[in-house]
Amino acid sequence: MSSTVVSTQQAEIEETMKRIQTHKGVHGFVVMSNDGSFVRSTIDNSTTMSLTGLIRTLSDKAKSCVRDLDPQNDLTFLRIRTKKQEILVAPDKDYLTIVLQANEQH
Amino acid sequence: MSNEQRKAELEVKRAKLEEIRQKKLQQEKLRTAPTTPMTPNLSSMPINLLTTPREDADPDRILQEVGIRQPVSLPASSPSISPGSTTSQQKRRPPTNMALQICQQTTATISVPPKELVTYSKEVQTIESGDKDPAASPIQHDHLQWDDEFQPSASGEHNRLVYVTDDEDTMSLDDNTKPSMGMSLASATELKRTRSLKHQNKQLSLQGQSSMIKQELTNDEREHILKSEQFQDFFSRSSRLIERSLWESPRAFDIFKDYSGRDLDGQNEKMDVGEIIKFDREFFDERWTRHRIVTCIDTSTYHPELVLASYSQNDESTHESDGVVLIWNTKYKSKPTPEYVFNCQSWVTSCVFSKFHPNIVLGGTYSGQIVVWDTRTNKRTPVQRTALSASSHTHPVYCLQVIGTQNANNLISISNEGKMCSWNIEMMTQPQESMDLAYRTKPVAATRMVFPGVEVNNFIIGSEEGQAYSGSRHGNKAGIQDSYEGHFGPITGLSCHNVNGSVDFSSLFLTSSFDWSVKLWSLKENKPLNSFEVNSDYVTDVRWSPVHPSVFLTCDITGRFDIWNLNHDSELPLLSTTLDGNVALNKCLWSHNGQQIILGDDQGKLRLYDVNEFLTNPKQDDFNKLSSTLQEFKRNTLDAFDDNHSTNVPTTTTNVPTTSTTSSTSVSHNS
Repeated sequence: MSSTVVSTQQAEIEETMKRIQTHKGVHGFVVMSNDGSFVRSTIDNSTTMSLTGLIRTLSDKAKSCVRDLDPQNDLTFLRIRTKKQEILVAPDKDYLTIVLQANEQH
Repeated sequence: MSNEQRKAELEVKRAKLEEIRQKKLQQEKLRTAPTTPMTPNLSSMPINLLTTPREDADPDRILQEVGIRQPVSLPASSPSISPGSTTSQQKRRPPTNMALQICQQTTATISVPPKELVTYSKEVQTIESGDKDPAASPIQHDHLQWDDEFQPSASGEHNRLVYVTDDEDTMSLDDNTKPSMGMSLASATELKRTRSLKHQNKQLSLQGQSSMIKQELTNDEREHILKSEQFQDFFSRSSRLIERSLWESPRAFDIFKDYSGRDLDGQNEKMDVGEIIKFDREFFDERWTRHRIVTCIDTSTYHPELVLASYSQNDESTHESDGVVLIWNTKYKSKPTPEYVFNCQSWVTSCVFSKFHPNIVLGGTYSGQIVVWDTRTNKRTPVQRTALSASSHTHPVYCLQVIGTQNANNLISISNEGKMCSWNIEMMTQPQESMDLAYRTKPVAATRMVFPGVEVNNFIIGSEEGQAYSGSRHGNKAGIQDSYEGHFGPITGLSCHNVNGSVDFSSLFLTSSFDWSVKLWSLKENKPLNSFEVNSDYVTDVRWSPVHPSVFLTCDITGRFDIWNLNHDSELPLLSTTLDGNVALNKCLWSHNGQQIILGDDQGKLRLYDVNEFLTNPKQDDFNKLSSTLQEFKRNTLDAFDDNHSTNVPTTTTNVPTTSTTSSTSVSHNS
């Protein structure tokens, strides 16, 4: 029973991931764990490795900045808008999700 | 000891003393020499001449004198000797004119380094490892304390990285370590590595160890992580955030357009004055709502932007679960996916948000079970289910309502077999009480139930046979008391007036039925006050507006929905719209603030419309108008009654000739 529950949940996870990946403008989607290794990635390996390291650093720095300003506060979401794209970072206790989305050009 | 020996010893000692004195005198001369020859030979000799040691003649004389003075003097008293000798020297020197010799004297320069003060401050005993927030949670600490515990692993990859970056820093260390310690090259580099690592640790602690440990996970490990519950929890949260921001971002990017000048929420376009409703959006999910009929809609009291909808079973695909309940979010304009998806085994015939529990969703199913879902868990299946037994329902549960107050609340359910059960939401294994609904010993097949306002005892039931009943749960006459006959077909919709205003209309209720009509009733009379017959097919639902006393909404099976305003026209709807395509509307609902209407159709779509302001902001005289309209209705019914029973023309009314069909109903048409 529990295994079927787990598999359906996993199927849902897969479905959600696919939905995010195929969203308009999404270039890349990476889920990484806190130790720097990625669990899922849709971009090539070398870019993923550099991205995970750098984003991890930035996210930690942002988190410590928020925390230093107010110890009760915490980082919930990070959005980096660049000329070419937008990087969405959703940090969590053990994992981190990164999505690269192209900027909409009107 | 003989005298001779003593003398010999004395002489030895004297010799020694002489030596010491000579040395002392020499030093003294070195010191005092610049002073003494200065005075006599100032003019002739340059001042910066090096001092010269005196001739030996003088010392001998001095020694003799000294020797005479202190025959048995121990070396300890030599310091006292020298000042005395210098003074005597000084007395004697001036007359003599000695030849000065210049010689180079190399002085040994000894540099004594400042004494290193090694202190141990009591504040910081550990190696500094970057900014440490004292109030940070343990979780945060885990990130930053890695450096202290971190042992450099044997892999050469990151060591190489470290080596390159810290090369200059460790160079000096290298120079000192190698020669001073005299170690071999290999061990020196080892030392350098560990030192540089520690150095790196200290300085780059905030970077985290991810830059250093980049373990590649194997596919198996990845699968394992994906399956773990921790990851699933995380992902459900994170994916929600990501999806919402993904859908919001196109509009948010507009901040960079500085020539537009329009405000950011571009959907603030006001409705035209003449426009009564405006299409807002529709909710449809390809996977979950296709080929399903919307069976029930509800909006949350805690979060008014959440819309709950239950769907029938999907006949097309058998592997999907029969029961589907979705929670949609109207706040995020572009996100097309539901916030929550809930499943159960049998298709859901009615659903409701729990009014007093913000996270509980209740559903009544076709099988008679009532299921409870909890939005706090990650599961899609119900957390609680009622037992399928004779004590609870065995027929489809067509209506659910939560009544009571925060502290004392109950769930009331009715099913097609004529049973009404009251439940405690915390314990759903068996009902708190159950009651068989029977009118004059005939069981009532209930299809609709409403508790007017905040009532907990009195209720109104609509049945399959077409009658409406009123009853009470407790009291002397528990059960059904009055019946309201008027419809010819099953009652599909039942709505009680619920607007607080200057006039109390809470005894009014509307019913819609398969007999193509909508009827307005008062609890006090068992004949309808008025009947609205503009539909040409089954009318599937009717709802009073929660904010305007004279406005209500109906929908029917041809895809037509009407908004009525009794103060405007009591015979024709204010607005009548038919949807395109072959859709049939099954359910309709007003939002809590009365500003939106939600329509559910038989193809799984939910349509939301914004309603014009004049329908949401009642004016003061609307209530009075409605009472006069009601009186008019009364007059009409009386007139019709009179018409049927007498040939006399009754007192004139505004209406055109009435046609009476049967004695039980009276209808007035406006030709």
